[in-house]
Amino acid sequence: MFQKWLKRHISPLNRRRMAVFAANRRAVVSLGIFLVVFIISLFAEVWANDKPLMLAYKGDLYFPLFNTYTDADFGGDFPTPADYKDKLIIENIEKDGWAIWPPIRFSFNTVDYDLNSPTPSAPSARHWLGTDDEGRDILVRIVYGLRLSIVFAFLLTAISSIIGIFAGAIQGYFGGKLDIFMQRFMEIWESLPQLFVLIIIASIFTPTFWTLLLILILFSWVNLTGVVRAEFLRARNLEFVLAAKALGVSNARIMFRHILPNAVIATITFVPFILSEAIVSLTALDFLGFGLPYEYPSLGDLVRQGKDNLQAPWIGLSIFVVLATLLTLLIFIGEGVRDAFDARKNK
Amino acid sequence: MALLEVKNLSVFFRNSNGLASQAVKDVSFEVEKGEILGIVGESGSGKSVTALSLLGLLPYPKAFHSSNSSIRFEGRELIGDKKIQQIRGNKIAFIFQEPMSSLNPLHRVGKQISEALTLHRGFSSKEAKKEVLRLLKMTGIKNARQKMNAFPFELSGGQRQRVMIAMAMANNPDILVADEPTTALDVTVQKQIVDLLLKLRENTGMSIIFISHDLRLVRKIANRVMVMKNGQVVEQGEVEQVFNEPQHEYTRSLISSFYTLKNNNKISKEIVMTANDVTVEFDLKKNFWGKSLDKLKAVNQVSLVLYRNETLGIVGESGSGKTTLGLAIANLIKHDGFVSFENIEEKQNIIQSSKSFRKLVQIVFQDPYNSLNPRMSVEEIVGEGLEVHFPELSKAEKRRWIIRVLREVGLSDDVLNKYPHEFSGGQRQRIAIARALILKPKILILDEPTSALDATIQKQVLQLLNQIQEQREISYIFISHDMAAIRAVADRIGVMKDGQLVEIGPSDEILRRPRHEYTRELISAAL
Repeated sequence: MFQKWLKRHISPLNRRRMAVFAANRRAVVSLGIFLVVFIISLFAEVWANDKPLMLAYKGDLYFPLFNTYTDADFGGDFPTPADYKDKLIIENIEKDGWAIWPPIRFSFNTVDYDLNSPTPSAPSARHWLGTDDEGRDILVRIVYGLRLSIVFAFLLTAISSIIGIFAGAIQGYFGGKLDIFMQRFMEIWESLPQLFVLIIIASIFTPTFWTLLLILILFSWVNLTGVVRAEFLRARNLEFVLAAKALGVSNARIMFRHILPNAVIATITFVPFILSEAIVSLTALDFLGFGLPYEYPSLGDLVRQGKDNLQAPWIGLSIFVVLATLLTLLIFIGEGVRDAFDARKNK
Repeated sequence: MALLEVKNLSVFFRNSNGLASQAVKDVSFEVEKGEILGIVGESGSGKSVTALSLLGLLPYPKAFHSSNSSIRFEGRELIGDKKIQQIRGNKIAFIFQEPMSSLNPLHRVGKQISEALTLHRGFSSKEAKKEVLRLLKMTGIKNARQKMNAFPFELSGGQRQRVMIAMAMANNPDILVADEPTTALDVTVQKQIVDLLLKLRENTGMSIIFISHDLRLVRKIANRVMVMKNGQVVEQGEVEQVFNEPQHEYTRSLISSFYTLKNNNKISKEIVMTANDVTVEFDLKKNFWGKSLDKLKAVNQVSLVLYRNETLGIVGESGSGKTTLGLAIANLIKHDGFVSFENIEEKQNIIQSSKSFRKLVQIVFQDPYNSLNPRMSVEEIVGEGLEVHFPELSKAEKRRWIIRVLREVGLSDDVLNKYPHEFSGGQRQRIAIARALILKPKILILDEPTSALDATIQKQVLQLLNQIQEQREISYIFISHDMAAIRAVADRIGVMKDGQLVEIGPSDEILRRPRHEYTRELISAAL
């Protein structure tokens, strides 16, 4: 059944590529680990949170994960958002109902006030990787940080690839003066010092996830245009493109149906590498303090803490291992994809 | 004892799954001193593999021989010989089909030739230089002294092949293996190279193994001929004997594929296309502001008419502008001059910019491997024109049209969901023809539609084209460098040289009484 579906919907070329990728064990294992970690981190709220997943209080069901309730709802005094770490609230709930708690009762920004040692505290049964200098659990911060980094990198890669492919396609397909002007513009654009522009912008307003994404896209879309442009320049004179022109097929359709699939191959091989680059640049910006503000769980912030707290090596070591593993996995996956698309190795 | 004895040569290739396939089966032949052996066969017949195994140039250990295979040169066994370098390039030299890729583009040709001399014969660099000059002069290259310092890209195809021959001759080989040495060249240059090889044989007394798919060429040059098919020798013997009394069915079909196919068409006098002063220019040099300083006129003021139901052959060598003319008529390239078309049934005059032009004029390209998008299925490829011009058709109706046109070109409807790489060259060309025919054009431009195909397949495609013409009353512009193909299908012939149409007229007249000097040269080189 599945085989039949494959045969129908995936061209033989792609089937062969998948087989080549599957034969590369290192890449497959890397992809597997990466996916498992990523999916676990996607559901981070479910298993690492300072709120109960679900609770019953006085006969009513509450879902603190999705709704915000106030202290007053659970017998507290103030109409402020409920603090589920508060002993009074916990007691109230347990007296008149029950609660399902996540296995780890800390979120990325939960400060553990019950620590016996000064922060940053060393790894213990309560905090497997210890806490940072503000008493937050490092393991939880890493998981939330991974999710943020990976999602950020995916978005950055996807959006800048789409813009880059579009720009490269127009340049390569139409050529001539348009190509020359766009090429000069991109050369000037690329030579703008990205970091200084970011520092200036960060000094005017605090960047958020989305503004930082936008700013990085402004500079990263140029990465792919060169490859796509070259591919279109080559392909626009291929005979099957001429044949399509002779049939009266419109330019847009020729670009999308005939040339783009070929150009996408050239770009797909780049994607895993762009992904890891995006993760590195976000981490670097956070490390320098020009990236995401304080309230985000970021890997770069942990790197900075590791540098500032050399007396607490568990911070630096954990974040080092995490970053090194993540980037290595992406590179291994990237190699697998690149080899699978390599026409010479396919023969 | 013969100079070279090949006995029971079998070659196998192991693929990535470890399965072996046999490329050459039990081939035995001998080459005497001073003899020219022609090896003829279509692509995939194993002729090149046979030649490469003479010098141990196959990708061992992926390729391997059977245990009873034997290649003896002057009595010395070459299979498994670790010191085969002493023979390779020294006693047995090789020239390849594609002279561009077999020369190193980064070195001057003189240096490449002298390498063989200093390596095998221990010449000093000064002696080598002298010898290189002698060799180049021997190959009849003009300005030999200058050409020594030229890079490969500065030479024409014929000149490059002469350099390759000079390189091969550098060590006075006993046997020269020439693998399709003229296939990439124009006919008139082909003739020069063949003459050169014959002259060299006379002067040095070496033997030549001449591999080609071109029967006429082999007939002209070889003493003995060996016909190969599917890795086996189907026939070998003296040239005249094999050509006059072919014993094997396959040899007969090969030979017969060159005779005229066309019974004279009933050509009406209705004109379907008029081209006036068509000119195509390319900029060779531009100044800073993009103004052109030097232009190449690829097509120079060509005027011609095309009648209904006729085949107009356009013949010329590479660079003569014949393909560019085809592209200009199909409006696929910027051009000056005026081309107008007549839709006779609807009594409509159509110019290139009008919308129905694309339905009226279609084009089929030379290389069926490049002209089909590898990522689209046959149904998508053939049906694309329908989606543009008849978007109102339902899916089922579209499919009916596609199946009908596929049947017309001799393909069954189980090919719909297949992809181009699953087809042979001839089948691909049929798909390309189907794509062009589905819009029911009245004019079909055929740009070298058969030159990438084997001889027997060529014949089938030409027959198909004739059949379609009879049924559809369609006009062809048949562009080719191949005089034999042109002769087989054309009603009228136009001859192009350096962008100009030097002569045009009915086929018989052009072939029998060519008026222009260049036409005469073309015909004598080809036939």
